[in-house]
Amino acid sequence: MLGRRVVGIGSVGLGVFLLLVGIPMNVTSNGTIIMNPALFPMVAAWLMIGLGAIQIIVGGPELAMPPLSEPVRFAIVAGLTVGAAMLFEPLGYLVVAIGLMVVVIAMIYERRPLWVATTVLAVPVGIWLFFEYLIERPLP
Amino acid sequence: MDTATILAGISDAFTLWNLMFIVLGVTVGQIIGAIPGLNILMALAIAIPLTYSLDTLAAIAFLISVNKGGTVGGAVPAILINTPGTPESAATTFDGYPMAQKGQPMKAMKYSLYYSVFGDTWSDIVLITVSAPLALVALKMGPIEILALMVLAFSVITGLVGESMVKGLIAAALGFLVASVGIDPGQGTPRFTFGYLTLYDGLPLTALAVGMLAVCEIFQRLAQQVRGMPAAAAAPTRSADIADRTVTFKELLANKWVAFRAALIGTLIGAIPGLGSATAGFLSYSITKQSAKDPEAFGTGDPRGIAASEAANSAVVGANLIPMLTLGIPGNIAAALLVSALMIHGVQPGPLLFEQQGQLIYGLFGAMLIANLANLGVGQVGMRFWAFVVSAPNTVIYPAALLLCVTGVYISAGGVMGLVVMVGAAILGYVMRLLGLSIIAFIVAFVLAGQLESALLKTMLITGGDYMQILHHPIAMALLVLSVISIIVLGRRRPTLGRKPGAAAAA
Amino acid sequence: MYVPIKRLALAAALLGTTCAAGTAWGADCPEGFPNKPIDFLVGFGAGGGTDAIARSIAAAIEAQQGWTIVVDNRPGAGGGVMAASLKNADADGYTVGIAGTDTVAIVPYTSPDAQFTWDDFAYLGSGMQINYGLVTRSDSPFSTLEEFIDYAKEKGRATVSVGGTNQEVLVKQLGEHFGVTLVAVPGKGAAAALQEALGGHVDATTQGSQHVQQIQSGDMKQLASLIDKRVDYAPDSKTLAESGLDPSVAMQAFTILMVPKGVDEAIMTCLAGAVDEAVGSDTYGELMRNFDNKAVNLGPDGVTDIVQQSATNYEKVLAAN
Repeated sequence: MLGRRVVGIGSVGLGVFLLLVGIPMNVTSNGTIIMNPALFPMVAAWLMIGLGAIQIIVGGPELAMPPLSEPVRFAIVAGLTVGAAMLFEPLGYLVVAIGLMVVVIAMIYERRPLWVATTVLAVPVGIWLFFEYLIERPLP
Repeated sequence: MDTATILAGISDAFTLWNLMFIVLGVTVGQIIGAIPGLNILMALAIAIPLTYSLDTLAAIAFLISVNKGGTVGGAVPAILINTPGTPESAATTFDGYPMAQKGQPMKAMKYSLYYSVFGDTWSDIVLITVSAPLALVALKMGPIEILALMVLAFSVITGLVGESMVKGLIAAALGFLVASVGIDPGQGTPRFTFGYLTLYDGLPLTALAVGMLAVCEIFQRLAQQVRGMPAAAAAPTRSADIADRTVTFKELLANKWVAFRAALIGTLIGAIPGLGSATAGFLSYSITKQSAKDPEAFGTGDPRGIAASEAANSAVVGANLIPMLTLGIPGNIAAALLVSALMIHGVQPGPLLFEQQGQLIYGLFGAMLIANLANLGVGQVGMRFWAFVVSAPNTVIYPAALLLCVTGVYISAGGVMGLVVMVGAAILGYVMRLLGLSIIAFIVAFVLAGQLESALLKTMLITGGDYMQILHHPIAMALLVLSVISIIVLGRRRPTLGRKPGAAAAA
Repeated sequence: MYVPIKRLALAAALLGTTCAAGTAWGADCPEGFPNKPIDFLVGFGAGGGTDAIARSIAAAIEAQQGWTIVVDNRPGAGGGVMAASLKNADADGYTVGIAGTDTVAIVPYTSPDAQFTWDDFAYLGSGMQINYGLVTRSDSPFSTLEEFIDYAKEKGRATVSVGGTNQEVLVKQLGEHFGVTLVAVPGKGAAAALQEALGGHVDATTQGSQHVQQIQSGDMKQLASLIDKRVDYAPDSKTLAESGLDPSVAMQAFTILMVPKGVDEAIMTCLAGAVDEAVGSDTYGELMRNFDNKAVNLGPDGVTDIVQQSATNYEKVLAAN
């Protein structure tokens, strides 16, 4: 098995990608000043290559991975959050916040009515009131 | 400065009106600091308009109290739910959270409160007594010295890298890379901005730190929730054993040297403009861990870890005012907001401040000392309240914390773009956790890389590439020698490069 | 707890149906404006001159008009980050930007990603002219621009810490004019530049407002006034034109207030009126006294002219580089 060498391979791969594609595409120098803007990104890339190589040689025991459901659910929650962020401005804060809480609470299997009500209604409304009135930072 | 002015100033602070605003300020600061996603800057930005109609002393006393309350409040969620309320309390999670998990949340919060107030008081006293000479010393810290200090910080902080030095350094390299997003400090050309002008100022630290430290933890908790599992309280609430809930004076004194050193580090970092309290917390924590006889005890709920982090990050608050009051140069953004507030009230911080506004400044000093006491009192009440809040089930706490992070970052870190950065950071944080890459090494590298790069650039410009000029900078040389020593000591401490089992704070 | 309650009452009143109270004084505002807090976006960080001006004007408007104003710092790219988000904000008069003239006159020509020009905004007025000066520690061996140039020639080079692109451009122009290497040391804003000069790490610095108190306390001296006239707090230091430079090199920068183009005419009049009244207020006047400067409101047309003029000028200078 690859074991912890995975980390090393990933690190070397990212470093090479940066040197060949990432940095040339996204960093330009106009040569007006002594230090090249690409210096720090290049240092980072070379560090990744060098350290990654050491990691490949050293190896190590297998990484302890959680059951597949965890990263999948993690990605779903992350996706929901980004989706909510995008919808704040068109739909309004309260609607989206309550919607987000409904989906999240469904995902984490809370069924007790009182706690469901707290999370779905009291929390978004409370936060909205806090921002809107107490500290006067208007939300969409 | 004659004694009469000093006494008049200090007694100004003791009006009922001022006391009320100090307590109010501390309370506001502690609450906002304790809410993940809202930080001290946010608290100050909210508080400044409230002071427009106040007299100058009450206004400044209120604002400084908010600032002081914020550093105390930030530690609360760090301890209770492993999500630091502010970036500067990140190092408090290492030992605070494990201690709370051992059934001693109250004890951990008390340690944090007491050491925080200690660090704060210490740096206030330094400010009051020796600010002028200390400010002159801090001025001597030019780009070359800062560069050497950054090298030292990196060499010391490698002790925080977690289970393996190599992987820790890989994480740090990633932090370097991410820190280079934005315009480069020299030519002003964009790097990795992909055409977004909003990225020119770099990725917002608030969004990044909240994402990696708090939101990542929240997402993971939500992801781990399995059907049918009883929804536990977010933190174990009350232990029956009184020793788990209280901190005796003896226990506090046992860590006096740790706390003292932390306060000293925080004061020094605070007195040098631009370094910040997050740096102080990390630096103090790693120095403490590395100089301990039993570094493996850290990360398991060791009170020394809490003392090292909290005394240092709180000591920054008072010390930050040293360059601000004596030179007119704010030590960090929080102090900069105070400068603005003073200017609105018709007071110009700078070299003439003590001469022109002596009574006001001593009034402020009096207020700062009172605020420390108020912090202690409000903190005592507050921690019971927070302990009560987190006794609600996980299924309420984590979704609520998520919504707070989302809302806070939306408001304080640039709207939807800030939220995208926050979620991106949370995902990166999760991947790094899975791969065993230290998130803390990443954040520290991110925070320090910008300062390192700017110091390096300025050094090159000032010396014109003549590196022998460092011989004229004794402080820089001393710092470099210290870094070499610490690397040697560290190297000896870590004979099993790359394979050391994970006793350290992997976080 | 008097103040927060007052603020709450105010917020409640604003959110209620009547906000005619807000229009009772001064500024000539349309019915129902404003019916929510107005956002002030500051193009620079807290603690600097622009930030203080923005907050002081905000405080004055709150007191005079009874509106609620939220001040937000959006630092980065010399105010460019703020300008970019201001351009994309709704042109409803609820988002006002505060920056320097250079934000719209220089940034579009130095930052390839700046998707705006000075013409994307409408201007409400100005707060003050920024009295840029070239200053140094009072124990430096030179006291005038000429002596400084001689010092640099003797040493081979001299360093000047700067707080922004406009000053970097100027330092370069100075070096070219006198045929000497002047190295501009860029950093994070004016305070950092001041700190390096006070610590003696650089030979001199360019400053816009914070140098005044340093000069008054005797810690610093001014080598040259970088604007078109001499200043009261350093009457002996010459302007660049007096030292033989082309008068167009002199910096002419104001702190300005702007909104995205397309705001309703009546709301423009209302906001410009409110700004003018605030700039004339006592609180603002006190801030100006601290800067040893004067409140200057050029009005909407005056600011537009200045901005257009200096944008044309910088476009030429920067294209030549």
